[in-house]
Amino acid sequence: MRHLLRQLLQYYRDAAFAAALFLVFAMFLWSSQSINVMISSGVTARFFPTLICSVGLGLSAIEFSAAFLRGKRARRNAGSSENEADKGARNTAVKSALSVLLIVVYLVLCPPLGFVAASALYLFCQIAVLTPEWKKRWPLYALIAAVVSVVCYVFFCNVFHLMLPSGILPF
Amino acid sequence: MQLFISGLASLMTPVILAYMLIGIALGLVFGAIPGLTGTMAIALCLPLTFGMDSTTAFALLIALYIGGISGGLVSAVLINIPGSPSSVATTFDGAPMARNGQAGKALGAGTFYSLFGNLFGIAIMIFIAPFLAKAALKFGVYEYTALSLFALSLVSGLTGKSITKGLISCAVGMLLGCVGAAPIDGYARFTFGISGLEAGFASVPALVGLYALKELLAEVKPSGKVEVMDVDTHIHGLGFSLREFVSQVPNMLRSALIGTWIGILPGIGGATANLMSYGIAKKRSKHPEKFGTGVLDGVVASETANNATIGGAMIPLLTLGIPGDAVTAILLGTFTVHGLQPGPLFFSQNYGLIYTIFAAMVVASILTFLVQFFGMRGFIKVLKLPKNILLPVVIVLCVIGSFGVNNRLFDAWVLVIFGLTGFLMSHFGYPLAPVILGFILGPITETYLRRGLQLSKGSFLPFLTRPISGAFLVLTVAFILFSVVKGLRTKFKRPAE
Repeated sequence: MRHLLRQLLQYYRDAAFAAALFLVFAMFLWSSQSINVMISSGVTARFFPTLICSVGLGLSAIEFSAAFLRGKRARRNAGSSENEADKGARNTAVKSALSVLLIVVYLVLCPPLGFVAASALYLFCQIAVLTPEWKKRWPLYALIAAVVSVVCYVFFCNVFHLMLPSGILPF
Repeated sequence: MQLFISGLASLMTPVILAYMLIGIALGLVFGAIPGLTGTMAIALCLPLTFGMDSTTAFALLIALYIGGISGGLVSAVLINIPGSPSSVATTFDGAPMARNGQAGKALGAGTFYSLFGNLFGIAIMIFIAPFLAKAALKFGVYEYTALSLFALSLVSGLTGKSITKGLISCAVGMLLGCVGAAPIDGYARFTFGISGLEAGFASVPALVGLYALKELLAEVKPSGKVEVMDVDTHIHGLGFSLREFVSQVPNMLRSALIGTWIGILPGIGGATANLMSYGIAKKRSKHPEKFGTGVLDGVVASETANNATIGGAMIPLLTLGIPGDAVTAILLGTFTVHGLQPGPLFFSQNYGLIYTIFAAMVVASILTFLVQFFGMRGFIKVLKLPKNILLPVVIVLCVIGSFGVNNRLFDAWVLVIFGLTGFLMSHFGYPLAPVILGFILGPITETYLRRGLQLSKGSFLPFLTRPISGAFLVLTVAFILFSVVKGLRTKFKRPAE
């Protein structure tokens, strides 16, 4: 079952993405029907989004059909064993997801911790994620993370008067 | 000429030249760092000019403007992230050139053609400003609608291998541009109860997110190994040969004309000019299939056009008092602060200041070229920095840049949303350039289209019957048909596909 699912994802991922886009356009089209409109106006605020969503729906349906046929052809012509490239792709997906998660956590922590602490933490973790295991030099990354965060904060707050969140810092 | 020379003389003081150099350096840094733009640098420095005399104030702001537009080249070539929306198209061929070991050539050419674009735009501004401004003044809503549609039709030239995917990308961009208050009546659309979405997505975090986050996520390799580009740091002359220069003359002149013209038209600006010019250069090229793999033509088209918009955007500002883009809107505010009102009367009453501004633009362009050219080796060294360290730092700077747009963290979330969208779309083979074009041109097209339809009481006929708009619409249809036929021909020529 797992193998079949993996195989389906391998050959029909383009079709799956086109289907996801179709759903997004459908959702926005449905949502566009609840946009308030001025009765007296001939061309309303609903006109343009409806037009774009309808065009998007049509195009993603075409792309879905084409991708599905491509996947079917590729499945018929290819073997079924999992290769190194698939394993590599899974690794990449995990690391990409981790990077996205780190940015999300960074933005969530920014107001309570403050820009300096949150940035230092983010930089340290992100550099660690991106660096190969054999190359890791923890003290250097900690130093870079701290220096970059403090320099950015001081520069942008004092020179350009940006009100970056100070958080737990006393200044 | 005498007025120009006397304007030039008034700039030749150590204080003004020092301010201009600081402005250029700051503009280049802001332009080069993704998430920070020249517009932001000008907005941040504007309060500093309140205490200055008008000559010094405008010299500083113009230096920031030119530096900011030119700086986008560096990050577009070196790290494949456009420093500003004006340099999006530079990444298409600039970054592949760097990957092919031609970073010096791309930067050298980009710097030179930026100077050419600047000087061309300024020359047009000085010599034929009144005539061009009059022509642009004749444009009504029908003409603007047709022009926006024509610019959108250029998406068909940027679609890559699949025209369907390219058009879907454009629809996604236009849909994202619909979020927030609708033009004309201001009704909220697709806000889903989130107050931050009521004003729509800010363009700086949106455009930077599409590129910056995608770049970071693409760097996560299965082995965890981070590749540092092997860059040729030896640049002979300007980085390109005389033969290459001669072969680029038509592309250079065409791009400069496109940039200047787009600059004159209010609201469109450098972000569209570089994409439009790139699209046309690709269409007109004898080897369009090479575009995107690292050809000089792409860098020349983008960098000439985006810099030429500067002179173009100043034309309606100085002659009509209409700002062409965000920067000229800020400059308009500076005029007001200094008790001046740009417009037809301003042109006849303040010859001295007008020609000082012209001279400041020429001096700033030349200084920018020198600073960028001689600082090029330093810029190339940026590439030697390990990307596993550089990219997280860039992300932090992008967050600062996004935060700085409206001083709110919501815009940093916009960066993430657009980053994920860009990453997913690019991962599945959907081109990003049409997303950007759709996002920028969508709201502009909608505004003019709705205004036009209101004016014509729902009839599309005036769009076709007015000569200028009719001509643009014919060109739009021709462009789309040409792309579809070309795409079908290529598809049927490919065996076994």
